[in-house]
Amino acid sequence: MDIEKVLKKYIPMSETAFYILLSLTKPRHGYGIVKHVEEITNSRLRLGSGTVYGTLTKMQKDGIITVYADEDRKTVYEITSLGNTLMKTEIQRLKELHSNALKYEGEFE
Amino acid sequence: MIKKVFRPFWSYDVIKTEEWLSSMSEQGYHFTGLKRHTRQFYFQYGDPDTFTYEICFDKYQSSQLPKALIEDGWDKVFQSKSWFVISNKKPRKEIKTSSVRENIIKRNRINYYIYCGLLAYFIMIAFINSMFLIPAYISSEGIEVVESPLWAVTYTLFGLYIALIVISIYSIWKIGKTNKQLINEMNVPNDVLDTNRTSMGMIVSREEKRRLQQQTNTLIKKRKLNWMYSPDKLEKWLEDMEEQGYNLYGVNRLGTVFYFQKGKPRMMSYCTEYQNFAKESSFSIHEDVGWKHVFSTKYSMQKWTIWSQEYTKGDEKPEIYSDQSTRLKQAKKIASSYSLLFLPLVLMYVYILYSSIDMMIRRDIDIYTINGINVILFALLILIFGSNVAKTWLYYLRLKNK
Repeated sequence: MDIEKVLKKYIPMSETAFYILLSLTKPRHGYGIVKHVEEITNSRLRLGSGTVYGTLTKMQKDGIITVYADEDRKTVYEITSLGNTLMKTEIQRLKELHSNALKYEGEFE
Repeated sequence: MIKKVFRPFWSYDVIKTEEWLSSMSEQGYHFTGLKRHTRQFYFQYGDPDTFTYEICFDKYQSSQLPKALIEDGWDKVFQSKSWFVISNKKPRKEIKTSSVRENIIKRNRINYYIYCGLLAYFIMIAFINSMFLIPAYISSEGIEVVESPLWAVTYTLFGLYIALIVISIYSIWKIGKTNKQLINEMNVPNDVLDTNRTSMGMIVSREEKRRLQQQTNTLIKKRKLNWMYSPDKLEKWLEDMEEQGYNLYGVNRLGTVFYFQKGKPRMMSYCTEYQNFAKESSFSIHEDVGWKHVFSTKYSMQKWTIWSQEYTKGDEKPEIYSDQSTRLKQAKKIASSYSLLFLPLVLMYVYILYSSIDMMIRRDIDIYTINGINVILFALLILIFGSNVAKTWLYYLRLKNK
């Protein structure tokens, strides 16, 4: 898939997709992704293994991530340069969201 | 110097082909390319060297290899559409990473089913033809063979027919063998593959059942047919049984009989998983996060798997699908797959039913005849298949409104 299509399809990103990609700062197993997301969200987000597997399969088809097998022949997921661009764009959007949230937060109190 | 080598069926046994490519490189013939239509491999002659090769198949693989593979010394040496070949200067033992075989396994499985279909078709043709020919041979009159140049066509076709049968049988055998090897290579948890295991990875064979019943007489047998069309109800039922202290002991091979043992009430989560094509790698993710494999249907198409996990009161109930969108997507997949399977049949039967009723009315045929029985039979089939499809969509709607 080319970059425009990917951006259109994935932005704004679902929380599940965002945290899965966010844990791919280094290549990880499916299990590693589930654990990492649990850690960085203080156990708020417990992703189901079927959800993670389904999302990863979809992302692989769209060329955002790629796979290889490690020494134990276990599947490892790695982000591609396309996925990198996608994440940078999404993080920019979230930054704007965040700064606006802080800016107008007080008016809701 | 370029060397060309013809290697038919290379893709049915990728492991052998990879080993062959390595041994060629040891003799100084280095793989440079492949013409897929003519099954010809091209080699460039040079200094003998040890190369490790892997053949990959991926419809969606982006043009670049994963970084981890490149860092480990892998390099893409050839690509033609979805097929590509990667090579590594190091010997196999020193290489830590490899490609993922899943797509080749899937492709092999599809080919396997195609060849099985072809073979069944050929055998049927042979059967029909012999039904005509054998009585003629046996009858006392004998057969008079008329001389004709057209016989050449018959013999050629017959030869072609035999060749196709041989190719089908060979392919089925070869693909079956390769896939077993490839799946073994993947290190799938054993209890998923070994369907004879009992206790926790739980499929109950007939002998096992008899032995247990004689021994304790405590196994409680419950029949559950057609749960595939409303899997949420099965999950709920199993969880309720566990809460009442009926612990699931095993499931029979077809997934129609569930055996329980009276024990302690447990908080269990049961989840069903449906795949159009079996994917072993999803099994290891589930096992890693703590799911126990309970049951799998035997075939790799329309594969159902049941998973279970115990949890403690107060804890959130574990689920395989943690968000609504993936849960719904899965339900939609189930509903549309079964619709695709049953609806063409239902439509065909409706047409047959309509035309036979029409004929019976026009010719004034009584209902208590063969035609009448036919009409009732087809109506029944429409009802059964139609209700299966309806059930899957009701399941989808139930989830959606949850």
